[in-house]
Amino acid sequence: MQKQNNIYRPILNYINRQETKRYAGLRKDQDFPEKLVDEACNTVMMLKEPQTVWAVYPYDFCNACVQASEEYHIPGQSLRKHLSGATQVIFLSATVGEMVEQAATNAFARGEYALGMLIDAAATTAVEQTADELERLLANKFAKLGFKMTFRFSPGYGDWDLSEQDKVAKLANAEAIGVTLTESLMLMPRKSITAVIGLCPDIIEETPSKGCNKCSKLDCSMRRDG
Amino acid sequence: MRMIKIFEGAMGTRLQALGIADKPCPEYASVTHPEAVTEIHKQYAEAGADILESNTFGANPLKLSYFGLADETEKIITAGVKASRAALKPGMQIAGNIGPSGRLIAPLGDLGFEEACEAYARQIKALAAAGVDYILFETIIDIQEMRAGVLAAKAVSNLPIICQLTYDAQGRTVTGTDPRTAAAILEPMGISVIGMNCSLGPEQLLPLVKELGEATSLPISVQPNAGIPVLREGKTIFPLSPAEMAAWVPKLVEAGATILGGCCGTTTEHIRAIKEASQGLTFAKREALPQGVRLASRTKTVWLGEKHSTVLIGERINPSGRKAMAADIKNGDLTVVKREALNQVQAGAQVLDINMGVPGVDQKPLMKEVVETLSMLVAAPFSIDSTDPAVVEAGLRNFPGRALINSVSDKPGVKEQIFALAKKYGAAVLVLPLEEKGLPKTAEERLVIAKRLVAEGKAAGLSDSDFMLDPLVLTAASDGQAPRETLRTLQQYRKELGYPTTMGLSNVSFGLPGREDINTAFYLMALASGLDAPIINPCSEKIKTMTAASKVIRGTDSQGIEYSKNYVEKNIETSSAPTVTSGDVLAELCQAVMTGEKERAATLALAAFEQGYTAAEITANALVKGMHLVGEDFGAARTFLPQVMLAAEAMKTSFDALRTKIKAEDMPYAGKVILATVKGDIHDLGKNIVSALLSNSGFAVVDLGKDVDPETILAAVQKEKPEIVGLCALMTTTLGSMEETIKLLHKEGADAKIMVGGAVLTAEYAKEINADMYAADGVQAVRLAEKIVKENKNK
Repeated sequence: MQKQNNIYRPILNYINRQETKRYAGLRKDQDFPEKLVDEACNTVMMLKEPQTVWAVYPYDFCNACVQASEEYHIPGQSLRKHLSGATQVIFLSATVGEMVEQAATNAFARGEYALGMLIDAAATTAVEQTADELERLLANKFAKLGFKMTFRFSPGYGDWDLSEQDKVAKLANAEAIGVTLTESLMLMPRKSITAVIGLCPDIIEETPSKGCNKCSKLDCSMRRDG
Repeated sequence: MRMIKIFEGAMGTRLQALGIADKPCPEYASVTHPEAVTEIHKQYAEAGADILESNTFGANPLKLSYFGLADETEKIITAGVKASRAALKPGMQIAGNIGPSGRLIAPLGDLGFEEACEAYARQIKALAAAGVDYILFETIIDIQEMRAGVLAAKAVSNLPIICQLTYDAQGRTVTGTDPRTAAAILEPMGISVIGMNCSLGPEQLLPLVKELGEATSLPISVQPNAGIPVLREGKTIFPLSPAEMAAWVPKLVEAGATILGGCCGTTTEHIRAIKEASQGLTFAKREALPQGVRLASRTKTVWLGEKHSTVLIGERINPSGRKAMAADIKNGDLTVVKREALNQVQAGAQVLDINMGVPGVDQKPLMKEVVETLSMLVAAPFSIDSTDPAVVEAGLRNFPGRALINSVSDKPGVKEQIFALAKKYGAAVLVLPLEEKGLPKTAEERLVIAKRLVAEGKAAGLSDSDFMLDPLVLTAASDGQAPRETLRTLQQYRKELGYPTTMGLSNVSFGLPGREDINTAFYLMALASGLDAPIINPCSEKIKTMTAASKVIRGTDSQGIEYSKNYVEKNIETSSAPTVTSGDVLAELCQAVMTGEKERAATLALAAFEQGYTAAEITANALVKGMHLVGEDFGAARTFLPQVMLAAEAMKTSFDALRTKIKAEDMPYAGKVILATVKGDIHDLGKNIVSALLSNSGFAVVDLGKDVDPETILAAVQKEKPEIVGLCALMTTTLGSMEETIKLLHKEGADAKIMVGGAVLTAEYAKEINADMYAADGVQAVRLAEKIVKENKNK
């Protein structure tokens, strides 16, 4: 069977302002010029180039092994636990391109520091929204087969080390959307992510829900209130 | 009395159970095992299905190419229809089944719109030749793919078309279309039945059927799954029994369903139960659609007309008279076009007019590109503004929605083409009462022309819900009676025709001073005369306010609730500005830095200088003091980093202002810092923040950028001789490179203190790699730097 290139460029008609403020480190009810938040969101709206790519592989959860042409054994406990019960896994990558980052840098260079920070935060929000849209597409594809999807798990979460980034990017076929790795395993463009989602036939144990209260990093500035 | 009809149930899962669905695909079973396919159809026919669905769901050359079977498309389809026909009983019909191509249409995916149309056309031709009674699109997740299918079907056959989209639990397709919007787009394209199938069970589909029923006058087909599935022991299990599924039938029919069936997980018994439950049920009575014209984007429907709120059509995507925009577009730069689209939508435009009249540019590909680009950016439907039918078609074809054509006039040879395009693409059309023999002066003359054009449009297949009227706006300065005649035309239109009206306002004030006032007055009088949707600059404050106010007067903003909201927000905005008027300029400046008021800070810094304070005094007692106070608030989590950055901006403008008065050597100087993000690390946000804070606390900062190798840093240190070197690393993978840099600096005897920071760093690790200091954040970095400089001085 011919291999498919699963590329999806989702539509983002807005940038989530609340998330942008959260990523910028602003808390609720803070007295802050909303106009700056608007300007940052608008800048990202203008310059974003949302793209995603994904690939599905059979998964042997007893041996924590992704059955790709080159087998990938999942190291560490966090991701193994996350994928327990999955029979297939989706590797994905999402990006909003490099122009948003240039805009943040330019804002700093002009002395508009707060705007620069907010553009960076809005771009992060945009990447997450891009990946969320891909998840909607995947849910349509796999929920009707009866699969439950775990939340997105990225290198760097738990004990899944960032050094695995190259393998993850390869499995996701990230290059197809122009996402590459630097020698030190950073994603380029910088506003990109890779992640894995487990497809579970029947949830034996409740999979951990998405959210800050499940995370072990208690002093994180991104931690959602409450 | 029209009776409910029944589709057959699932085919793929049945073939799967027989073990012939993967040799190599379910559709090929019609070729290899036709008798098995026929047997399944027969069972459904026996259970009471009125319409069989041919086993051709995936028999699309694009999908078949995965199995190397594209060349056998026609053979597979012919065999599929033949297998259905063999099961046909008198009175029954066959729907030629067509599923998604398996690829997304550009720009969402890599499948070209024309390529999709061609593939569908080939599938439909074969189905029509094999003698099906309907073309049935089902399980489609993107409206643009559905449009490609419908256009292909119209191009190669006259068969009635059934369109079924797949919705999720939030009531939208994967690419964002809701049932109302699907109806707004597809119904005018001339389809026969609209509906939904798959993904959800009858319970979840019921509210969506209801929504659809309120938005269409077409028959509605509904084919739910047998509930939401679970997967057990490798098998997909659909939970609803035939009886459970059939229990939903009366409710679905009441909501508007007229053809019922089943999708995934439904069996012969499900169809039998659905058939029995539908016995005696007839089409439910539906409310008539509201009067007016609806336009739609992929994700949103907008109603225009007397019964609806005023709709602003944004006029600013138009290069006529705007040299810079025209030049950008000519150079292929759509930045300005995108910005205008966003700004207008944010200012309240619900529809965007798109005119690409750039001299010397081929408008067809340009219109296509702009429509594609903007439909990824904003949710507003478009008005395609051109007099060239080819340009209009380029816009309509590629727009994933229902657009307005702006416009058609009484020009023989062109008007016929425009009406045909409106019909083909399901677009609405704006009627402009112009004829070749000259400008009609009076309202009565204009009405005659408009009526004639409407009649011709109807003869070309358009309906009452497809027309909008333009009363013709002429310049007041050249004909004093012109504006009055425009208003009279609006009144006549309302009385005689009743279609929604639109017009470009600004022409009226051409050649007069204070144009905005004339435009506003004209706008309000036009609203009172029956204008529904002005083509206007929505970013104009006057227009915004007057639109909101007029909605209160006309009662479409009941009791002025929306209007009042705007007023409250405005008040907050002005009252939130702190008002310190202590008379002490340094205290005020300190305050302005803390609240991040850039312009005020710059003014106050100059005022302080005029009052005789030295730069050092202003810096120490106002600027740095303000920054320190903000820093304290930050440390105590009373304020957050973006506010600290605003304070830094206010410091920057103050310094910039002082620099215009003071010689460089007299400016305060705290010390020198070299900053770099280490080799291999491409993050520079954190470093940029530190750089901004240091340089606005009086430090001279040499920023080497990101991904800087140790040798470059060493060379810079040897040349610049800074007091401090700040190194930044954001990732665990680049900590090694930080350590390497520090080793090199120490080895070469650099005597600058080394400060490190970054998301993954800790004080402990900083010590381990022999850094002198660890800064957890930018504010701390400034404190530490100040401390070092002080210690150096005390030595």
